[in-house]
Amino acid sequence: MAQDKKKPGWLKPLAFGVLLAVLGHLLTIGLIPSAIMNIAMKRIAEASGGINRLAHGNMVTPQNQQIVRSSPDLAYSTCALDLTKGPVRVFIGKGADYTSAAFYAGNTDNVFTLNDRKIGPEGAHIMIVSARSPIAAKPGEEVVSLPSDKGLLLVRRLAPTAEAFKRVQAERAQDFCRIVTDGM
Amino acid sequence: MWRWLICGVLGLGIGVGSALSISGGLFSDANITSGRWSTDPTVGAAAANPWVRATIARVGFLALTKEETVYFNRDVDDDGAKFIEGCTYALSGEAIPTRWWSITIYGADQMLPVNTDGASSIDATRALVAPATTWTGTLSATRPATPGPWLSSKGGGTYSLTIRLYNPQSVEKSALQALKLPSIKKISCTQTPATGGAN
Repeated sequence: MAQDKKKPGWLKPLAFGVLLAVLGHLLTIGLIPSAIMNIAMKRIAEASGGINRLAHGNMVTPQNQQIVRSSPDLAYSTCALDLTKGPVRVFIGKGADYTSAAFYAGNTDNVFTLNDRKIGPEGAHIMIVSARSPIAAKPGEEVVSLPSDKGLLLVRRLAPTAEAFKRVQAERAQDFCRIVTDGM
Repeated sequence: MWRWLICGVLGLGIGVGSALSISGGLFSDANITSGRWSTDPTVGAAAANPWVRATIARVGFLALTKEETVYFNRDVDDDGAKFIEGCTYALSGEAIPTRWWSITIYGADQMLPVNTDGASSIDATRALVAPATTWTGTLSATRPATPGPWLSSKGGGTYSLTIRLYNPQSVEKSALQALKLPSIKKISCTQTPATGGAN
């Protein structure tokens, strides 16, 4: 009887394995969104020369595609957002055709989307703040609050042909995304 | 000691593997179908739980909300057979109650198949020129002899299609199910279909 007690069994190692399975599963599930977002933000920041800067993409082709499931019919502009030093101001000009500006939190949630039907002829002025940023919007500015300091802005403009893409390039020339420097 | 090591490694592998399988869409809730097209209503939404969020991050990254865009996908023809790069299919569609639509081809890695055909998508502005209310096109790995909309599957291996519906008139489940989305019928296959995979 005493010898049986000393004999190592499988029960505790199995329980340890189950514990690691649960922890590994939860940890992986929890890390996937932020890991994917971090990779995307890094690529976008590199393309635009830094964070809080808007980068206008070329016509999407199989040779230059940057992220999964991009559409060759859209002209993309991107801005990797970092609100740790304060709010970020965005301007999106009115387009002749479909335009949308989508804001994504660091966990990939799409927290807000504005499309051209809600953008006036003067364009859209948007202030992006984080949950811990002071609200510093000017009159007429739309305020978008991200639940995190990091995030992503993705602007889509309909451009299914080379002619349309050329038109869009002119439309978005005045668009910007930059950190607030005037204290407002 | 070796028992602990075996159980630990197996447990960790199962945990991480199951997380990757689930987030890869293995059990995705694509519960709205219209013909052979299906859509997951959670794509683009602020995720309700970590599993849905992880799945969206992997299979619907940077998607828009359904009010902005509904994404229907399919990887089979009208007879239910998987799309194959070596086969040629006939596309046909009609006007859809949405502001604009486009169909794009993606390889198994969710990227555009790498080719220089300039035919990774078909959109409403090119396929459905007024006053036409219907359109036909071709899905194949080689450029069709007849003019018209063409989706190139060259380099796609076993691929899938996504139709984006921008600003649809309704996002109610019944309205989405009632949509008459394009049909895709197999015409022919080469004897040795290419299975080069997606890039």
